[in-house]
Amino acid sequence: MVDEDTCREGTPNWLGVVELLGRFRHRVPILSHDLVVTDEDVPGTPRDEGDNDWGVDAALGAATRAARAATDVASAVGGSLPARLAAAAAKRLTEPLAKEGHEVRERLVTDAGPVARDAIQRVTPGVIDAVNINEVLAAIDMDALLDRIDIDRLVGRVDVGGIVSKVDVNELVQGVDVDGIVSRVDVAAVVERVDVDSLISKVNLDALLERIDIGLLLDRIDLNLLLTKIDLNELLKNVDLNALLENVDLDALLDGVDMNSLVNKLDIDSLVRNTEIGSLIAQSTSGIAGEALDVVRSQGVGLDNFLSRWANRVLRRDPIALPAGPPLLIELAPLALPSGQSDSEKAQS
Amino acid sequence: MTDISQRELGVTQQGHYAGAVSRLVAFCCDQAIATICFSIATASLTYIIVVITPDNYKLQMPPTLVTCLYLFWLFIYYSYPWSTSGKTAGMAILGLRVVQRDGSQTTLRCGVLRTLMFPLGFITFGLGFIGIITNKEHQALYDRIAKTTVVYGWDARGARLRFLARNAPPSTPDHLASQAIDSPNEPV
Repeated sequence: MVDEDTCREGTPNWLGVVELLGRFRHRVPILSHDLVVTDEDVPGTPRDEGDNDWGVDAALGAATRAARAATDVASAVGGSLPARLAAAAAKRLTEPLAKEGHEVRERLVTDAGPVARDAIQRVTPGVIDAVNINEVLAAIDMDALLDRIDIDRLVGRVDVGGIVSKVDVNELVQGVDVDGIVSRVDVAAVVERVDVDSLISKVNLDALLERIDIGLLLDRIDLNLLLTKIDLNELLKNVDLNALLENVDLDALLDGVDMNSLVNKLDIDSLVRNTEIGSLIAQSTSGIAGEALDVVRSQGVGLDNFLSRWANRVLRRDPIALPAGPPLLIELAPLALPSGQSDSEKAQS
Repeated sequence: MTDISQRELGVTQQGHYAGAVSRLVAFCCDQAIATICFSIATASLTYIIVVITPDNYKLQMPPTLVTCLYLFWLFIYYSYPWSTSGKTAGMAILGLRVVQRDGSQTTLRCGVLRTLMFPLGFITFGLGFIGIITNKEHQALYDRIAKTTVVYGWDARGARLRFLARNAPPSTPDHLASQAIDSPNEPV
């Protein structure tokens, strides 16, 4: 492990460097080559690794100790006054040499750049191949790392609005395979998990029903289609008509019926023609005198109308504008007469 | 106009103002009935008097008295029915009815006034009857004074039903079969 105190003082951390080299010597071919690591030296076999690399480990151990001693000595010697005076004198004396060396170093940097770049390019793929990311990540103490991170500050720096504004939600949604997601969902299993009773007990049915527009709902219902699907015979078998009729208030029902309107809608003519009522009426009321009266009255009405038409024509009156009869009788007349327009009225209209 | 359309016209015009022809025929019927009744009554009364009086007694009725009695009889004959039912015998035959202008039932005042004013039609040489044809409400002079009018009020509906029944198709085979079951001895 790297010595943190050494790092803080700014002195070379030779011990850390050596430990790091020892840890990644198997991953970096060039290092393993330089350190004469054999192909049999395979990671994952700790006992063999210890047996075969004893020389390297010993050398690294020696180097570690030497580096630690050198560090201690350097820090002790370098900090003393004589050493600092000597360093100043040496700096003065070696100034020409330093100048020449500085030129050489700059030249070396200039010339060594391409060479180093070429070397890095050759080395980098091997390094990447050799690095086991999982092992590196395993070595990282994520908890300690996360403890150091100020999450709130980090989040505060994030421009959430800017990120969201850059997101094209439509494109994002279009990219989602909803059908695929739905097809993967086991609806039956989901439904089985739902506690329907509990769910229904939480529903406020009154509030729900108040929101429903029954009229609109009924408008959308195709009653004809609905009725065609209903087996009325089966339905009526289950209906207790006697009990139903006992509960019906016929008086109130009949009070609500406009009998006059109902009677006016009856086709009395057809009723008399096609039923026995006609013959009953004929048997009960017919007679030669009655028939003669009917004829006389009918003829009288016809002659009256004929005379009235001529009178209106002479007087240039509009028959429609004339009152047909007294108001009370004209208003009550439909109640006493058969419904429908007569043939003569149809002809007149 | 066919017979059927005449009946339908009669049905549809119930409650409408009656025309001159029906009213004239009704008046003729009434006059005939009233005169016949008066004649019968007079003859009966004369016969009774002759029977119950001695043989040498001769009934001598002055014409004026007879006329007054006749007019009084006519007054009774017309005013009473008009005040109560609104129709005399002749009007009942023709299916007419006297009502007030709004169509309501006539009152005693209406009936009496109409009877008293009725001779105005003759006194004016028939001009009092012209209103039956020319007036919008078919009112004669006496009708205007009495505020009455005449409408069709006959049982046209019953007449129509009777007419339809007479023209009804013959009974159905099912009906004949049911008759045969009810009376198996009778030939179908």
